[in-house]
Amino acid sequence: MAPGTENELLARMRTGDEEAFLLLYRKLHGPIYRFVLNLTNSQSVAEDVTQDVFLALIREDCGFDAGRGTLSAYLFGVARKLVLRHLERNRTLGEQEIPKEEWAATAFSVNADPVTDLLHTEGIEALRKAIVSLPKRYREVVALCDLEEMDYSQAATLLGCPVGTVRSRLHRARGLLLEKLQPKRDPKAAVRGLDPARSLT
Amino acid sequence: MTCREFWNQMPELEFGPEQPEHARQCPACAALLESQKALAEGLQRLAADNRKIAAPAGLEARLTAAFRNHSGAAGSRAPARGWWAWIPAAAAVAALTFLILWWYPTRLPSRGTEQAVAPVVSETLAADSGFIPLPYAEEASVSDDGDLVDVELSRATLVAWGVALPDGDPREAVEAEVLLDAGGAPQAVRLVQ
Ligand SMILES: [Zn+2]
Repeated sequence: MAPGTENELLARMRTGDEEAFLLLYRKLHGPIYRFVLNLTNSQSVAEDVTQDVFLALIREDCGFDAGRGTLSAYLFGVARKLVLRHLERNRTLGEQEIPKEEWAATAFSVNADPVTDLLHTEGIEALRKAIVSLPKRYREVVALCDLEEMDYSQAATLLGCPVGTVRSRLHRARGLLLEKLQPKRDPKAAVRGLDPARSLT
Repeated sequence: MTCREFWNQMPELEFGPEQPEHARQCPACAALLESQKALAEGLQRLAADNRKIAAPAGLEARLTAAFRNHSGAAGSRAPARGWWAWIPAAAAVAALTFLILWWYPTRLPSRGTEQAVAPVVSETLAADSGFIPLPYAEEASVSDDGDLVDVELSRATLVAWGVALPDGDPREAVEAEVLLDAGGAPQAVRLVQ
C-alpha cells in the first residue's frame, strides 16, 4: 500500500470511517502478526501484540507522525517495542525466551545434509525452529529481511541502526542458522542418545 | 582468488546458475556455497509459507468493536481481549496475587517490625496517604499487626482494585505498595511514584 494511501485511510479513520479502519487493518496486520510470531513463536503473544498495536492506532494519541515515516513502519516499531518488553519480562521472570521443548527440537534436521533437508517440510520446520532459537538481534533481522522481505534500509530505520549493521547481522544470522542445521558429525554423538539394553564394559 | 576474496565479492544470498570459478577449484568453498544456496531456498520457502499465516479472525472483530466504541458509533461492544475486558478477569489475577503476597511478603526488617508497622498502618490509611482502600477491605481488620509490602502488580490488577491509571498495556507491571492485614490479606494499595 502506498504511504499516501495509508495516510488517506488513516485520515478517514480518524473521522470515524470504519471501512477505512478495516482496509488499513487488513493491509497492515498480517506482516505485523507474522513478525511477532517469528520473534516469539507464540500465537497468543502475536495476537495480543497485534491487538495492542491497532488499539494504539485507534486511540488518537498513538504518536504517529507522517512526516517521520510510513504508517506501516511506525506500527512495526510499536510491535517491536511490545515484543522486546514481552521478552524482557520473560527474562526477568526467569523464563526462557523460547520454551524448552522448542530448544530441544531446534536440534536438528532430519538428514545430515542440509541441502536435501531444506527441500523437505521437515527441513523447513527445522529452519523455522532454528530461527526462533537465534539471539534476538539476529532473529529480528531474519524475520524482517528474509521472511517479510523488507529491504535493508527500511529494516535499519526500524531497528535504529545503520544499514551495514543489518547486513552484518544477517550475515552472522545465516552462519548461525547453518551451524544449527548442520550438526557436527561426531560419531560418539550418534550413540550418546541411545539407551543400551546392557552395558558391554 | 583467495577464499576470503571470493566471499567478499559474493552478493548476499544471490546465486547465479553457474558454479563460480573459485568454487570449482576449492571444495571447501563449494560445499559452503551449496549450504548457503540451500539456506537461501529454505528461507524463500519459509517466507512463502509465512505469507499464508493470518491472525485469527476474532481479532478483526474485537478491533472493529473497539473502533466503534472509540468513535462512538452505535452498536459498539468492547473487544473480549481489550484492557477493559480484563477487569473481571483481573479478579482471578488479584486472587492469585493475594496468594503470592500471602506466601512471600517482603517483610519489613524483623527487629522492631511491630513498632515500625503500627504507625505505618494507621498513618497510611489517612486520606492524604495516597493509599486506596480495596473495595472489600474491612477497616477493622487493618491492625497493628499488618504489614507493608512492595510489589509489582499488573495494570489490570490495579485497575480492578480501583486505581486510576492512564491507558497502557494491561500486563505491564507497575510498582505499588500494598498494606496487608494481620492475616496477610491486602487492605489498601498505593502506587510507588
Ligand atoms: Zn575457497
